[in-house]
Amino acid sequence: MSELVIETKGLRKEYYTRRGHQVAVRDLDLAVPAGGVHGFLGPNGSGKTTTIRMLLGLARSTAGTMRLFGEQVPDRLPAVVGRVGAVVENPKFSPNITGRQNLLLLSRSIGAPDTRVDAALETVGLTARAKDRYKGYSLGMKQRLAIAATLLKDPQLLILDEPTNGLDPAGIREVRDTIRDLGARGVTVLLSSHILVEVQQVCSAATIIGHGRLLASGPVDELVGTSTAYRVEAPDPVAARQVLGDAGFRVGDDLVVETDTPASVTEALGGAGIWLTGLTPVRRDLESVFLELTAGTEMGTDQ
Amino acid sequence: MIGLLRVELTRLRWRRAVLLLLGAAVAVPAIIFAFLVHDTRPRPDDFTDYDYYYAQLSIVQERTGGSGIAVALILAMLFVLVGTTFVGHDWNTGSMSNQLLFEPRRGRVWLVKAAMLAVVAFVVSLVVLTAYWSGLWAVSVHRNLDLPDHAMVAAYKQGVLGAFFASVAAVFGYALTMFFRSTVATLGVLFGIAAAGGALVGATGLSDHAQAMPWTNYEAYMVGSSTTYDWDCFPNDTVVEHGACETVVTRAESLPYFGVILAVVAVGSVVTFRRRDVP
Repeated sequence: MSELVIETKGLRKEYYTRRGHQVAVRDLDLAVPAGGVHGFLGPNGSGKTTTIRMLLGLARSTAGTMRLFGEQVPDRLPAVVGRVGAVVENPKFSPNITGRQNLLLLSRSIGAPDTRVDAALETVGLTARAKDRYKGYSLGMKQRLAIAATLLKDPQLLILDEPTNGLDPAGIREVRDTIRDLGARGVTVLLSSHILVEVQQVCSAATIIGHGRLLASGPVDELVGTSTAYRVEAPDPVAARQVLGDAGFRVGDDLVVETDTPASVTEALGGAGIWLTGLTPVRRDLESVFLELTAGTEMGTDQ
Repeated sequence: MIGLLRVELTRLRWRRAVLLLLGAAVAVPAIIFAFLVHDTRPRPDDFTDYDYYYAQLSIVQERTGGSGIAVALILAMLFVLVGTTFVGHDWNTGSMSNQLLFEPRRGRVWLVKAAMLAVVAFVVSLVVLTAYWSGLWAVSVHRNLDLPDHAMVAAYKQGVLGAFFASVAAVFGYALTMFFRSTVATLGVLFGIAAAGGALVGATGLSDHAQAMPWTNYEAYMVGSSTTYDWDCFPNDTVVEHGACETVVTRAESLPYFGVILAVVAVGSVVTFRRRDVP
């Protein structure tokens, strides 16, 4: 098993608000191995952002342990923070200074050369607008500046919380490509997102949480599962259904047949003189897995 | 640490509201200086001696009860605003969390920002107050006015005391805002104290104790001592013993007064900043 970059055990976060006692994260065990893009999924209010904020030392845990690169956090966070880049919720910068000035303040605080700011701006395509005030940026540009800020450290772990929020399709694709590229370069990326198609496209593994609890975790292919269902297309669907039923197949709506041996479907229909025009595997996607796992989870706001 | 101090200084320089307040820290004393010089200008011969006596510029008088301590107080108030505006912006925009993603040692972050503000407030106030007293000295020499021995030494010494007070004021405003996490909340609390504080002090009976009053302590700190009189103590038509109905607060007594206030606010601010979740 590869080294774990992120590891939590029994992580718990409780709040006491005017509405009473609330548990945002319940005994969460999270394990993110080094390398690749790891999805972090859950409905609003499931505790994703709270978990990320605890990992980064912005919020205190009520119980449990957390490790980044094997170091206990938050106690040892200063030792590893230089290897971690993060965008938490919305980008947060000073509006009255330029994007470049905002990055300069951050890079100088870690003693990085100013040239790294220019390189990061170029990576996210903001060089031309670098000297514009941050308040004049579009939401997409703000997100890109936030990603540029994470690159100032040359991180080995990137934690991105909803990085495509508010982006147009072109912006989403740009960010997706950037994430995929970073993952390919060996940077471990923890990607929290609501856009499940996006997660399935870029993530090799995912963790799904609901109500602050771990619901499932593993490689995306394993979560989605191997397909055992096939959609049958034939010139006479009624006859095909009859033949398949007689042959002992379970036939669902839209002529979807469950079988481990699709050749047996061809054989049964061919034997009855019905020639297939199509036999398509029906795969579950991450969205259906997500919806099954989080069914009944109330939607709220992330805390 | 030095690198972080430089970063905070840059952050301060790039904040327009702070620059406006620093501009005011220069402009307001300059205006007071101009009015003082104008009001004490040499009068025509037909003025009475009585009028002229009171209109004459006196560095000693300005230092012990005139514009000197007023200018230092104005500087202190402006630097309370500088302290609160500087860090209130970080909380308002949420950029504090961004900063902590790069430097997670919160105690160090608190300290560096406080140290930078203290140094800036001290240097700016020292320059302004030194210029103020030097200007008054130049006017006095130009008008051939008598200057007692050591008058300027005492004035410059008060300038240093005023600069130190402004420095403490900046840290006070900053620490309060780090506690409340909002410039508006901090200013609201300060205005509330200013508006209702007098009534509260009166209600608690503290007004009978000169040592508890901010102005008395400020005057004692700046001038060396402050005397308050209990008018109810004076019997009619009777001469009382010297000092019987007065309370003298010395500079040494005023230091713990301000020190305790600053320490309570600073400790509360650091502890809550280190422990509370950052939005």
